[in-house]
Amino acid sequence: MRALEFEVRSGGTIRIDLEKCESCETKACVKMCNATGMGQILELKDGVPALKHSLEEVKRGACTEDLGCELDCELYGNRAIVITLPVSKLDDYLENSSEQPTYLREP
Amino acid sequence: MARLLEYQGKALFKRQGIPVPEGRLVQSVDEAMNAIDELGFPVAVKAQVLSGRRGKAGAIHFAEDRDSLSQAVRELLGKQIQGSPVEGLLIEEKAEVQKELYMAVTADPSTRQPVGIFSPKGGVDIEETADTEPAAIFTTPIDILRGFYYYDAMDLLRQVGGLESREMLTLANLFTRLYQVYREYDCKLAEINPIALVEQGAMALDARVDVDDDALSRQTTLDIDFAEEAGERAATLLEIAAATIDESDHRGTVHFVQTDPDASYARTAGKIPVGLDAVGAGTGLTIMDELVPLGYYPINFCDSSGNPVGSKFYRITKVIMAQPQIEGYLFVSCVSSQQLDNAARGLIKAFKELYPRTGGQPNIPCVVLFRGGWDDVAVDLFREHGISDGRWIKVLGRDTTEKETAEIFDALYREWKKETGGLQ
Amino acid sequence: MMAILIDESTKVLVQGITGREAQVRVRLMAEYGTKVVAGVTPGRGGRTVEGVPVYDTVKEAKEHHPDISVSAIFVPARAAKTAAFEAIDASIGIITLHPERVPQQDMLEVIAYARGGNTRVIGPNTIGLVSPGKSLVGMIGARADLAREFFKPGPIGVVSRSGGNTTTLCYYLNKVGLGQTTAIGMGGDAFVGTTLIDVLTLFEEDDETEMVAFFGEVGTRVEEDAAEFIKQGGFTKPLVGYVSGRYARAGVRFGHAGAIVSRGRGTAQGKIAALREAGAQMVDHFGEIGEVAKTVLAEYRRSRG
Repeated sequence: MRALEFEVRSGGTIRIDLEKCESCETKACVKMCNATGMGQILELKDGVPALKHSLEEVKRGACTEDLGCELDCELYGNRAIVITLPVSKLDDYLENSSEQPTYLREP
Repeated sequence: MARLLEYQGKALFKRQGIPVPEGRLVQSVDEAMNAIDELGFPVAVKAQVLSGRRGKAGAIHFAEDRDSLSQAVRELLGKQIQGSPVEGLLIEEKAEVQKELYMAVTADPSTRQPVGIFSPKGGVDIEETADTEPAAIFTTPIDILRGFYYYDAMDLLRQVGGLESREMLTLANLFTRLYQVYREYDCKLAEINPIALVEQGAMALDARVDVDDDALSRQTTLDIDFAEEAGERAATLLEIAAATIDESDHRGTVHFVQTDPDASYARTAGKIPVGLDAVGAGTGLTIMDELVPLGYYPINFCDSSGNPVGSKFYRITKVIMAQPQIEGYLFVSCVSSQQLDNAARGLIKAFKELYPRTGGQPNIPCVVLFRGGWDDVAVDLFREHGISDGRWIKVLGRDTTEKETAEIFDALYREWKKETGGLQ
Repeated sequence: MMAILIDESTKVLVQGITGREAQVRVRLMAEYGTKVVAGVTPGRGGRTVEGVPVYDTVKEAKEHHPDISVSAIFVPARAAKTAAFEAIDASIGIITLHPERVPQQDMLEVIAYARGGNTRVIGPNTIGLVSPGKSLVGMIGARADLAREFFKPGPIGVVSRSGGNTTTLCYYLNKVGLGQTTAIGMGGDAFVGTTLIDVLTLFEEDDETEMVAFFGEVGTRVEEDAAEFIKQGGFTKPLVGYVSGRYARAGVRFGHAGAIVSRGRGTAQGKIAALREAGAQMVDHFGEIGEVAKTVLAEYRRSRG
């Protein structure tokens, strides 16, 4: 499976499933990334999203982690992007907590 | 602030030449027995926890022999003292005390310079002395550019009365060393309470040292690992998790503390526990002012400032929502210059993950207030993603005060409680 | 004069100008109309940033631009003390220290050092200040168009311990048609170079400032000391204010270093009571401060004929 995957500064990854992008009519992620005036790391290459910078530059902070690509892709594109941003030690907390957080419970 | 445990503070005192009783840190009965071979009886056995007034809390025992020592160690280890588990004990030679005195160096908020404080009434709470017997407290301003010399201290001690010349000199030398501790280790407070006058001179029987967390990066010799500042208790697991968010990325900060980690304070006060994220500390405090009278208590405080990136808002929202006791959530911004659309995206991503079945619509009452830069975009994003349509969320724009925000939350909570009966 | 500290004639130096954050702030200031005339970054002399010449030291910048009146310092917190000392040694009239988390004892040294010179220190951890329509120093407003939207010229002096709420306070005032002479964020730390008393003194002397609006917080003795100062006659104009944090529990630091109640001292209730006793009009809800300011100002104007 063809994918564009890169790391971001805060410790996480952005994965774009390029097979889905081929049939995407909007390329909303690229528009969004360039519209914020801050991100500007994605461009279209051969009809699919590509990085304008090296992986190192992106990881050093060229990606401003505004999350716009994933959210706009979900609304207007082909749901091709997954941003994974672990919170270190949060899982430890949740595993050790005797009570469930409210979002897992029913009112 | 980063408050040191007694044994850590005493180690710093020792480095600067302030005499302290001979002692050992132990974590088991076996270690205590080994320590006693070197120390000899009688000894004091002192729980190493951050809470003050350990004497009153039963955290200090004395032992005359191996039986009483082993009993004291067993009793104290694993005990909870004001919410903090006892993980270490300081076993110390018991000093023969003739007089107990008080000495401290800190910064005076009004004069904005260091101040040396001395009282002949040591061993008790200095704040109490300040209230009941202000004449027993003696202070001297210190010019930080000039330093603090033994004769400055002597001139202060001369005012006290009842101290012999030799005693004054001993104490003055101790005072200048305490000032060195204060300066050397970037302290906010360096306090000895009590100092004991003993046969050989003076000795620090206790140590309170608060190190400035803003200076920890240059205090490399301290070799102490602090999470986010948690005041007079150790950081909670959730606070430690939240602290990792700012450690890995310096683009904006999300300062998170649990003001009431188990919601016991809220419940005792008859308040409903809620989670809170505020853009600006002042805004967090202001929304608290409005929420508490209506019957809600934010069990965490979070100041999201300095224009944090969207991923930080995502992560901190997950942290705030992980608090199992909350029956509501508020995000409140001041009329901010930050890019609030980034905040909105972070919140939306978090909500969608936490509530996958409803596409991000929460199951507890949530109020989100965007005021300032890109606030209209932020409000629109919640609508576009269908979250604003949720029954238990209100997304508000610029023309809303803190008071109105709290009232809207209150109405939403009441409706939720009435219809759903609350969380199971 | 129609503002305090900064106006159209203000010429700004930026220390740490080649840093990423400083460059954004230089753009903000320049687009707002502030005259940013020089920058300093040691080892980067001879370059330009946003068209502003960069020098190696403050003294050198001053040799080329003797009329520099303000230095905005955007260096990392650990370098803040040295940068402030350098500006004080070069007799810069006002410095604004923007870094957060400056070590407390560094700040005590800066305050002590400034006492012996002719420099006013604002901050640290200050968002900056703005005299609407005239000049803006620091990061307040974030973008020139937002700054123009959030701050309007008018008769109210604004001072806040909270950066964000400097803007919120101006927003509430603008809503009732009250603009500002100058709005200043004092900085959120426990030890700042310019205290509430200092700002009140400046507003007292400024003819165009008819009254002052203030946002306070738990922690420190800033409000209590100012109340005492007002009682002694140091400030005679009307003061309206809000102090946040009535339910802040002791021992918890609320965001920044200044906002902490320790051992029962520095409570919001104590501050509100002290300021009320000194004659200030304290509001119970922040959102009411505009309306109350309007009423107080109208009464004040009537009483003065």
